[in-house]
Amino acid sequence: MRLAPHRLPPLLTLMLLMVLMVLMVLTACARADSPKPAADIDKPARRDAELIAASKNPATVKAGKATYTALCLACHGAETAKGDSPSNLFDPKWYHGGRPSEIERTVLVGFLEKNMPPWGEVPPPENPPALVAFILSQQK
Amino acid sequence: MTRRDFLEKAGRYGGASFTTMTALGLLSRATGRGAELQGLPSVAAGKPGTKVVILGAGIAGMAAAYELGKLGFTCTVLEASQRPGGRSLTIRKGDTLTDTLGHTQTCAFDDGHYFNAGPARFPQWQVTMDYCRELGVAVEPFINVNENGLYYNEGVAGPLAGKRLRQREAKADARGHIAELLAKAVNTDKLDQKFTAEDKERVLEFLRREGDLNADTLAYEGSSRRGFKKWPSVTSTGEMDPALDLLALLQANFSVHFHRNNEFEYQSALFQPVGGMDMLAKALFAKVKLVVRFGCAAQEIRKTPTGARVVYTEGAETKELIADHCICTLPPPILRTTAHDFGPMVKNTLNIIPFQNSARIGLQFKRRFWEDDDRIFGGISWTNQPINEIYYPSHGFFQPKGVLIGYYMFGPPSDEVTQLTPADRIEYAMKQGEKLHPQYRAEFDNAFSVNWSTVPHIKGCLSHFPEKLTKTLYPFLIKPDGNLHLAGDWASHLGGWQAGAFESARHVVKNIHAKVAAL
Repeated sequence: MRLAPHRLPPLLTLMLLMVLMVLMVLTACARADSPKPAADIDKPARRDAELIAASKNPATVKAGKATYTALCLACHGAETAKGDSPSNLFDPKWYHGGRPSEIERTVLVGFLEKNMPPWGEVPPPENPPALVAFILSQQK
Repeated sequence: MTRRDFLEKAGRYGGASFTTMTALGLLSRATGRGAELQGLPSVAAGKPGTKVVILGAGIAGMAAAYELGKLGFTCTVLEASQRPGGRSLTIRKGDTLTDTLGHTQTCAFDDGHYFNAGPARFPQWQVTMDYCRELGVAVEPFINVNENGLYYNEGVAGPLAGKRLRQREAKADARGHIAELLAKAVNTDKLDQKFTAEDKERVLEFLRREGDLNADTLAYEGSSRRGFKKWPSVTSTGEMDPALDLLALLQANFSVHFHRNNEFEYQSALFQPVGGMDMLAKALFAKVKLVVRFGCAAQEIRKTPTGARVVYTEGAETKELIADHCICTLPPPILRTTAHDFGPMVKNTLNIIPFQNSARIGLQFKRRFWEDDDRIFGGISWTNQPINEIYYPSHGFFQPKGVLIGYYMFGPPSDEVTQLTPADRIEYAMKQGEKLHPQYRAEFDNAFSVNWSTVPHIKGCLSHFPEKLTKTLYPFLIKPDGNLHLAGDWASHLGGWQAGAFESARHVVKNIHAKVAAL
């Protein structure tokens, strides 16, 4: 369906234009990676970037693999894991959010009803990010 | 004891000599590998602190009730389901299972055939053997290794990808080649360590035997250990296939399976109860049946100033039971979603127990082709396909039909089949299994599959407590929290074994007895 702007009352047209301009400004801010981002929107993006950077640091990945082997391997399998299921962390499909920050949140908070423990309080605090870095480094 | 007493008691306990002698105290009872219960004095009837409520009628719960009963305690066991045994589940004709996703199966195996969906074996050193003896459960060897069993790996590098090998062929050739390499290195003094001439000869002698090497050249030229193309008979000394290439064997990655049977839990000899793994659970149940109540699901586990209080539902009714102690054997997935008064560290520890899913399928075939055609009588074949392993029955040889275990999987593959319908699970097992046994489709009869994460009231298979947390968190599982106690294989270092449940129960019984004795 085509919009017929000449039929709209002038006031409504003006309002639509203003909304459009605000949206464009907001989008531009997000794209420009502004140093002063709207906190709620850009915190995860910043965390994503940090975790992706960590996944390129061999020492962090190595530490993450040690944690993975000790605590995760039993249920999630090795990097060669096969099978389409939420427990397969090495295929491209994510059931509970595939952004790095979402993966980290799942590690910390867990899904007890699905037998995924909340690891946030158990391993030393530097381990969950390293763990996520390892998982990201193994994405196929 | 008079002769007359002896004969009367012996008669009452029937003819089974072990049972009779155990009942008369002539043979030692199960002693386990930790908590010694032998010789503990019975508590006085009605003494304070001797009333115990036990949640769960699996091995741990029933063993605790049995041992406490012997010591004069009064126990009540509340079991949420309608059968004893928990994960000691043997499936036979007519058994039904409705999983938490709503799939219902009814077993159509022929009479006399069964499939152990949970534990299926135990090594001779475990306390399970002692309880079979004490409870009069007949056992038979479980064939865990069969050199005639198969290896089949696909998608690997090299010429052995997608080829069926007998286990002995891969093992004899790999060991032979490696022994040859080592012998030649030793012989030409290529090792760091300098041997005296005498020591060198000892090492070489070991390697000649280890690899079945040519005594003079130290070369591996094949070995009868790898079996024959044409087996020896009256008129033939036998004909062998040539040895497989070492690099080809390493590329195919068969060696991941070589040491399974060297691990202490799987070393020969292993056993199984005659007639199914639940025969032990049934024998234990026979000892405690008067105190077990089915259909009673715990809702709250509370501490009281003097003991424990359990709120549970029985049908539509909510009830309460007050006792001096509570032994909780509910599996972690159930326990962590039940209201309880265990302390915050126990709660944390319960939350991180990696109680894994696993999946098994029992496939009944119209003909025992693995015996008839492939001469595999018992044992396990291994593959790098998700099905992982195929168990052949260690019993019922020569019967017209047979039930084998078509997959035994953990991790993502087990979660994947859990989401499939029972019919699709059969196809999953068929498609991979027929690569080892092309007879699968023609001979298939019927099947029954169990995914432990969807079994009501259990919701998981087993856990091995993370070694990394043994010193920090594990202690919270095995220490009494007031008068609340945890028991189960998952609260032991024998996760997944019935022996872990027995040992854990004994540990808790000893703690409770000590507490009451100190009153």
